[in-house]
Amino acid sequence: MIANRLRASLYFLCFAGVAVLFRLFYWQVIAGESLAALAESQHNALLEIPASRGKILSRDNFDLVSNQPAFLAYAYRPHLTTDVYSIAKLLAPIVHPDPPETTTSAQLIETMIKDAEATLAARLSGERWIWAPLGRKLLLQKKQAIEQLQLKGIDFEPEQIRYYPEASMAANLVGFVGDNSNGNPQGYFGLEGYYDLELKGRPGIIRQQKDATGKPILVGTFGGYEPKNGRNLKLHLDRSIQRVSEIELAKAIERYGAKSGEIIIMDPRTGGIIALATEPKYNPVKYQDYDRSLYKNSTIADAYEPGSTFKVIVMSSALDADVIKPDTICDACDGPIEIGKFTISTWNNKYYPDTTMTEVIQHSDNTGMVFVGNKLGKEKLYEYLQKFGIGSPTNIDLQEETVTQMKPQKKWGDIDVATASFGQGIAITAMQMITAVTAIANDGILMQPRVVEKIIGETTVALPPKPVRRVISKKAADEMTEMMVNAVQSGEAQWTKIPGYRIAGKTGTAQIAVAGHYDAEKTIASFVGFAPADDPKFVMLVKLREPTSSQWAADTAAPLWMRLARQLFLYYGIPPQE
Amino acid sequence: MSKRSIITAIIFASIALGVANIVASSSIATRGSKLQELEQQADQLESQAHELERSIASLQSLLRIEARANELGLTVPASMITLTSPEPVALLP
Repeated sequence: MIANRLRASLYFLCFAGVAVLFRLFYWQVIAGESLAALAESQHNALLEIPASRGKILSRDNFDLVSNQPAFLAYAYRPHLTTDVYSIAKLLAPIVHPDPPETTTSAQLIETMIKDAEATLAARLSGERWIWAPLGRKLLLQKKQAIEQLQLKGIDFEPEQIRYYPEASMAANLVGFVGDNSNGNPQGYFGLEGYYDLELKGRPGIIRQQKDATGKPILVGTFGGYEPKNGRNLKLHLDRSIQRVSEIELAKAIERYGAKSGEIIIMDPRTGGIIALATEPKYNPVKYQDYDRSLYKNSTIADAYEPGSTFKVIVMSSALDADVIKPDTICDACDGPIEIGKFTISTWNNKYYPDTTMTEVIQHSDNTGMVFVGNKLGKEKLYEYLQKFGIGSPTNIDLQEETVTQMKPQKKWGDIDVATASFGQGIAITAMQMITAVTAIANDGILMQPRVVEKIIGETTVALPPKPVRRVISKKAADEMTEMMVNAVQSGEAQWTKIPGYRIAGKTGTAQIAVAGHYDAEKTIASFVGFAPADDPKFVMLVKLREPTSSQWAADTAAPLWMRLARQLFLYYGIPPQE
Repeated sequence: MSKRSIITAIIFASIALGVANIVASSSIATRGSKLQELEQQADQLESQAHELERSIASLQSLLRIEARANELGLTVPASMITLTSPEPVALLP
């Protein structure tokens, strides 16, 4: 009997021992990793310290784009004492998304509040959650409003959002910060997109041991790394000139009934972008409310046929190649020119027999430019256009630059040489156009356009002016400058000239190609020039799309250019020379 | 010194060190809450600094300066005269 009991006890103990061994095997081997992680999470806190995104500063060190504090509101379930439906009802009027800028409809706002309440209620009424977000990127006022409700279990994590002290100034140049697919902030378009890596920095991590109440233990182990804030960008951009450019552009679009417009002002010696204005534009704070087509910077992303402004590129090439001189007489300018089945005529059907090259630019004479194009020849013309950067990106430090390739030289016919000589049948961006003209203003040296002057961080990196190549000789550049001064003094736009100043410039009225033919009514009016002509302080391009008050650049783009130039002379303290 | 008194001294020293260790650990651990408070205070101050920076930028913006200038009745001059050569200080009689 006793022996049986002892045997039974032995079996039981053996069985219990095996069961314990199995359980230990399960804990140590099978569930070991997850249990260790669970213990780790109970003992250690892993805190992410967000890095501040770098600022974007104008030339006068003003914060064109900076950061402002914002907060992520969240609920921590174990500490909640109020019922979740009441929480949703109380918070919805505070955390609901802002309505679009253009809307003031009380009904829409009411709907948004109801939607927010339903979303919060659905999120909080679920069973399987400990932590739930209630609102992201809430400004300080909203945080304070939530705090006043004194709800237990509702807390905040600091965040940062972009702040624009000058509102939508230079929005298309700056770009915006949105969320990427992981919900992390990322720069899109313009500088925010191009310099995203420099601007965003790297968040820090603090790893510390905590006690049973979640408080840090000082004798515990610490670890992690410090956050590395993003680097600041200092621009060549002058915010006063930018502001004036944006005001004048908006007024011009209204005055001339244009669809859109662009102004670029560049320093010819450095290639620095002093101002870049586009209309229409968007508000980077509420970029979601605007059509996506407005995000891109049209001066670098939209190609157009430049028309007569392009004549200065071809003429200066011919001067450099020494195939013409300013006083060379055109022997083919007494009437329309036939090339195959095409007829090239002047813009006003007026012809000037025995006209000089200076007068060809003055009258914006297409037949004279065909004469110049033929003198230069297909190979040389193509080679010079490439040297001026046509068909290549300018490599400006903005994200969305696109470039239209030129047709291969071997496919160029006589008609291509003829039309290219007066700026049609060739597509370029406004940035390519002004960069090419900057080479004329800069004694023949092409500069790379640059928006950023310095990247400021732990170490400051200066981005010095970058000459790309010599395109034409100084002599050719000087001769071309004189021809452009004459065009302003005596050309179609002479009524707009500013007395006492020597300004080099050229108008351009280009027809817009629609479905394979040029629309007779729709034009792109532009004016490109620099001043003072003998020692240029700025190069400026203005462009108006489809002006309706007059289709001609001399009546629209030229007066806009001169109005802005007057203000620049005053701002820079440049007195009249004559 | 006898062997017994050395052992007694070691025992007392060990007890004293043990107590000191417990007191120090307890004291330091309880300061965790103070550390948490200080971290929160640092966050608040940093947040205030950002808010003040934002206010400075807002006050210095051209938009505000323009609005203020308009309030004060300042206007752009309608015409301007540029002196291209120095004016004589006095004319000879």
